[in-house]
Amino acid sequence: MHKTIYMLFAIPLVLAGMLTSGPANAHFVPAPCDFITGGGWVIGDSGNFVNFGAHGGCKNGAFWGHVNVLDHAYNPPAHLRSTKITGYLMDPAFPNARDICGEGVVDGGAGSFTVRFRVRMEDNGEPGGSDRFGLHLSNGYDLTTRELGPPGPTGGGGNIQLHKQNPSTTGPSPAPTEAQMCGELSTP
Amino acid sequence: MSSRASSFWKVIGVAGALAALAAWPGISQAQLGLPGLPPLPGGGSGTQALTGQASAVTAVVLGTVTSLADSGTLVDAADPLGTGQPLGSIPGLLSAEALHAATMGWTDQVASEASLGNLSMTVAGIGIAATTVISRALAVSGGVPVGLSNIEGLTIGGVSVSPTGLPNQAVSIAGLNVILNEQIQSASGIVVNALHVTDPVGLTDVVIGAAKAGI
Repeated sequence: MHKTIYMLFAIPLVLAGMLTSGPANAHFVPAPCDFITGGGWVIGDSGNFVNFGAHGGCKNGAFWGHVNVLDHAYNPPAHLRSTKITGYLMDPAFPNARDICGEGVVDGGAGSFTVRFRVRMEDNGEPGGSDRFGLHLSNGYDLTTRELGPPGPTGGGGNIQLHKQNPSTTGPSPAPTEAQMCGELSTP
Repeated sequence: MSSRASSFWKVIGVAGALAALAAWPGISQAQLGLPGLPPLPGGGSGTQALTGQASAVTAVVLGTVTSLADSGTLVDAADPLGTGQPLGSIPGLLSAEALHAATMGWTDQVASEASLGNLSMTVAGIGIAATTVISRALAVSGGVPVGLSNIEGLTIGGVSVSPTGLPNQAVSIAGLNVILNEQIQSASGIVVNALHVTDPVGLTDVVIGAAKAGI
């Protein structure tokens, strides 16, 4: 009986994992879906401030969220504003991280143009210095994922929060593939 | 022994099924007012009421209310709300970057968050700046609501100010009344205002990073 009950629970879980996760090590939509939120800043590769505020998850059979990033490496600063969220993924190798993919508009810097983007946000506990943020754009911009770090000129600041799963906020069914959600963009 | 083990697993199975059913949504709606707005409606309907809202900036200047990156009011656990903007400003008062606000509900809790970066503000001629401002509110059914603020790189009138992290840290500089990590608790929820500034004569009332959650 013990074994029977165990199998009743285990088999659906395994099947659900197979249906939602795709190939081993691929990034996939968490099921049930959850949320990630955060704001703060990191230091860009040229020592510039990069400010961000973002949230993502699933909602009513679709993906949900907003991503805003402003990079002071450019003059005027270049800012990304999301216009559509096309994916929300988890990486089994980094269970505290979520990637948000979408389309957006970049203004400032070199003018105004549309891009696809992939943001990585990672919640590694409080107060947030170990949390990580990165951004990859389809025009080649790549802010590799990095720690928010301690506040100050050599660090960053802010906080990222991974919220628990919410069965009432479902993503698309069937879940799209990583390529469908993020195009050719890899994790930053 | 075998029979007892079997009963144990039956209990576990039934409990699991009941937990799954209990986690399914069946939510009613309510509102939680910002400071200065109508208060949170009382309970008594017999249903679990979710309340949530977040706003990166809410300013009252000479009676005119302006909000930047306001999520709107949460009404359903299946309907998280959020908004954001890369740049925000209120002419003559403030500017900020990477503003965002979100509020999310579950059957048993509500979480709200607002943040912005590179804040530059002038109230009554006094400059206020911060690199990052974040507020969070979390209300869990049956628990005490929790609030959290992160304010980094804060200067007021050119003077560096270090938040203690404690709720309702009052700072008075050059006549400005400033409250850091303002937390307003009620029986059903919490409002967290990361940075609340009012001028000496009450013409300007600005909240940077407002998050509220109730259940």
